[in-house]
Amino acid sequence: MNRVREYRKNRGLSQFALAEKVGVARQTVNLIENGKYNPSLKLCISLAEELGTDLNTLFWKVDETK
Amino acid sequence: MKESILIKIMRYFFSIRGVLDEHNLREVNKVATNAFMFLWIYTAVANGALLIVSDKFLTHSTLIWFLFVNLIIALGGVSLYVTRKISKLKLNYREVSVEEYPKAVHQAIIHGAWFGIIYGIFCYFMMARIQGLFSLFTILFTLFIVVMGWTSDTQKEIGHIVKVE
Repeated sequence: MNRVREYRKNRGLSQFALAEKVGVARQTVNLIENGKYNPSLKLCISLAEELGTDLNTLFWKVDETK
Repeated sequence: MKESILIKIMRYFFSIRGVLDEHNLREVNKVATNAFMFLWIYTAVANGALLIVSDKFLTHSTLIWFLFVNLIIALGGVSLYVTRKISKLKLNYREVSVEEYPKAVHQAIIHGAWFGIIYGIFCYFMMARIQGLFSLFTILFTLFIVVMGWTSDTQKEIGHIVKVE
C-alpha cells in the first residue's frame, strides 16, 4: 500500500479536490489509495508534487511493523 | 487539456461524461478491444457461413434477413455491451462540486436540446416521406419528438450528475 491517503488527509484535501488538482477522476484517486490501480509515473509525480512530498515517501513500500 | 476529435467521438459514442484520465482511458480501451474482437470474429463467421451456403438458399429475402440479423447482433449487441460496461464502470456519471452543479445542469439542458433537435430532424424527414414536407401532422409530430427527446435526455443527463462535497 502507499501513503497517498495519509498525505492527502494531512493536507486537508478531499479525494475530489486532489483529483481535480492532478486532473483525474475521483474514482482513480480512490483506486490508487486502495492499491487497486498502479498509476503512471507522470501521475505519481503530479500526486507527489500536489501533496508536497516525493515519490519515495509516497509510494515506497510502507513498513507495517513500525 | 484540449481533447482530440477521436476522444470526443469516443466520449459521444460511449456516453462518457466524467474525466477521461489514464485509468478510465485504459478501461475504455479494454471495452473497445473486446467489442472489436467480437465484431471481427462475428464478421468472419457470418460471412464465411454465407459463402458456404448453397446458391439455392441465397434468395433476396434471405440476404435481407442476413442483413437484419447482422444489424441486430453487430450493432445492437455491441452497443448493448458497451453501454452496459460503461455503466458498470460508472463512466457515464459526472462528478461535480456543489458550486459547479448549476452549470452542469445547464449543460445537461443544452445537451438535451441538441439531442431533441437532431432526433426531431431525423423524425421530420421520416414523416415527411409519408405525410408530406409541410403537413401539419408532420410538423406537430416533429415538435412532439423534439420536446420528448429534449426532456428525456435532459432528465437522463441530470440523473448522471453527482454532487461531491
